[in-house]
Amino acid sequence: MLEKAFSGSKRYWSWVIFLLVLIGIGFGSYLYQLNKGLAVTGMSRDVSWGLYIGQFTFFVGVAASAVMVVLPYYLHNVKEFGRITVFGEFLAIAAVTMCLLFIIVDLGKPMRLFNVLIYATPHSIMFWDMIVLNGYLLLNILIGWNVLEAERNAVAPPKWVKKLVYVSIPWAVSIHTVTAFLISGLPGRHYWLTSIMAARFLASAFAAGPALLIILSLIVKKFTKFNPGETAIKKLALIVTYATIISIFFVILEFFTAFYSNIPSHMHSLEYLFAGLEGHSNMVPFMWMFAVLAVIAMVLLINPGTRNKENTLLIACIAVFVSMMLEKGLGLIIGGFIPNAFEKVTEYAPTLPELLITLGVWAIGAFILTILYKVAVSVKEEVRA
Amino acid sequence: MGIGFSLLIAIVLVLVALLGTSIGLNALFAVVIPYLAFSIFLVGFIARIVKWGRSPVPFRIPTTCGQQKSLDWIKHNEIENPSTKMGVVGRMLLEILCFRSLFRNTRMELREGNKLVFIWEKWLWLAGLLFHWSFFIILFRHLRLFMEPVPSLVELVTTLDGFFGFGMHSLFLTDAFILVAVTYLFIRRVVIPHVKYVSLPADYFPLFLIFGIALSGVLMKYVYRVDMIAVKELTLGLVTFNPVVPQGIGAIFYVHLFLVCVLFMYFPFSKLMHMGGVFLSPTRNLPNDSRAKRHVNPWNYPVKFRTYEEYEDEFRKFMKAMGLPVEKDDSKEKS
Repeated sequence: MLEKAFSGSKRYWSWVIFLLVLIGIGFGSYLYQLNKGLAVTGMSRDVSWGLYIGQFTFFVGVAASAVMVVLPYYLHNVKEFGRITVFGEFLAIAAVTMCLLFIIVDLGKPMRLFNVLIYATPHSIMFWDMIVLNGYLLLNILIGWNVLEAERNAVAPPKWVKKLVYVSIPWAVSIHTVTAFLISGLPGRHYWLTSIMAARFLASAFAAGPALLIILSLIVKKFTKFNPGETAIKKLALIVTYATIISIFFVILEFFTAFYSNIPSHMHSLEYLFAGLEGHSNMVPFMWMFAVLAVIAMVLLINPGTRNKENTLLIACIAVFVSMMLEKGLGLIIGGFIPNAFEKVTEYAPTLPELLITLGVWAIGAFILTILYKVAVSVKEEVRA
Repeated sequence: MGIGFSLLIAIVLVLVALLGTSIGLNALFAVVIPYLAFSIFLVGFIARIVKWGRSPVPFRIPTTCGQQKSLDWIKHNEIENPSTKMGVVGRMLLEILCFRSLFRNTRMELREGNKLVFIWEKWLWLAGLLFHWSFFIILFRHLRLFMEPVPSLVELVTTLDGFFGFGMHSLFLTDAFILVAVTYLFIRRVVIPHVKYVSLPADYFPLFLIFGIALSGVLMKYVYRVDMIAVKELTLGLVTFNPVVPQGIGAIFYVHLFLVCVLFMYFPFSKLMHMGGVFLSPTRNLPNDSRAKRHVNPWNYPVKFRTYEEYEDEFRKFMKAMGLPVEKDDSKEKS
């Protein structure tokens, strides 16, 4: 089936080449970082996780969200999702690959990557994260590929694939839970020390992931002969609506706990993020952008008129995706480090190499996604022709 | 039986090397056998290639799987059905570097009663790629033993291959890959009934031999360390035809070296010759231009033949007498 990725229109090839150029730029920047060390990034002693880990966290959520099409289809027989489950799974493959790459670029000495295997221990959340992420990648490759191949052959997928699907559903939840534990399992960081972290992660994941899937479905619909189906998109939009509401609700809960109980250590991070602390306010515009976009998304999504119209739904989905990325992929991680353990503020801003490397990882994700979606769409066009 | 026999030979070879060095035949294993092996390899390889190169290929017999070049408005596939030399080069490059024909391999199966399905057979292709590329990179890395100063490209490849650390050692990825790939290729041969049916000792033995070489190399690098300075002294001595036999190199090195020598000696007489043969396969290295160009069999000898004209000249009057039609009627010409 992979041969489908080797033939395409001029537009397809220009897009692929464009992505390859971006990957090249990112890789060049990475070699620079490898040579000079993490000092070329904006990270410091006080803010030791930055854009990379933020993006990692966010894309684990995107990956986990594949379950939002897989679960209704396989457990509740929601037939409309049958046309797009493979898109969800392929999105997960691209997203998990990005996550793994973000981890690698965040390692100052990536050559020590295998230390997580050599010194494997069940006490390390990092070790568990490695297992769940790689396992999830493998599950989605096996499931997505075999289901698509069966569709091409007009037969039911092999029985063992269905068993793997049932494994993959709780597994999807596990990847984001373990990632949340990576963060909330650090008692020294007040902002992260909240038992709702995993729930928050899942909620925002199930908002941002399906939102991206809707955007991708609309792109597929516009540029190819395959139509993912209107009812499927409508159902997804409903999922995005509920998940967005829940995740905004969870953010508000954090505010209540911190401010009504008046716990200074819990309030400082929120103050820094939304209002600035001791004259430092790097993050404030981004967090307000999150708030504004979240409100726009909610208005557009809750109102059935705008939710069911493609144009406004697209805007809503972009708003959800960007706002969740700002909140989880930026604010949450950086906010946890500010103020530091000595109650001082050290700010963080990503540097140019850091941004270019992030762009490169994005391009790799988009590249994998393009190849896989090209294969899937070609097969679906062929089957329906 | 084929498996057991091949395995037995491989084990005997290891024991020969161990025994030989333990009774002090180091010079034999370090100098004589390597020279012998390399000579056999060189002469055998060249002889084979010359023999193959001389076999006549009178006609274009490429196996193709794309649209041939014909009319302008029919889309032509230059890679799958090349019409020019450049196309052939492209096709051969894809074949040799990416194993394109294996990539296209599919497996047929009956599912749900009698539905015929085609499943992309990717594992052989992947394992084949992994195996050959790993082997090539490992071989390339070994150039550091035969050159002084070590070329920067060899250093670069070594650095990239050994990027990941393993405790205090660097871990060569290709070392792991080749062991995994050879293991897969062996298991595939044993587990799939029809592949097992066509497998002979000549298929198993190279696998065991290469596995033995890789394993002894890995053991030498990561477990039973040997004196690398001495090894390089030996290898440089060999390539400068000034052989020395340094003392104190571990026995595992001799096992490794002896197995490599056996591989070299065995090479020209085995299926491993596909390394050279792939370039000579006429079903791949010819442009499919039979429709555009006339190819005359080069060893056509002149055939004595008689035209109809001559025949009629001889028998015309008899033909006319019998009332048979003739092409040239000389009575009319005369009148």
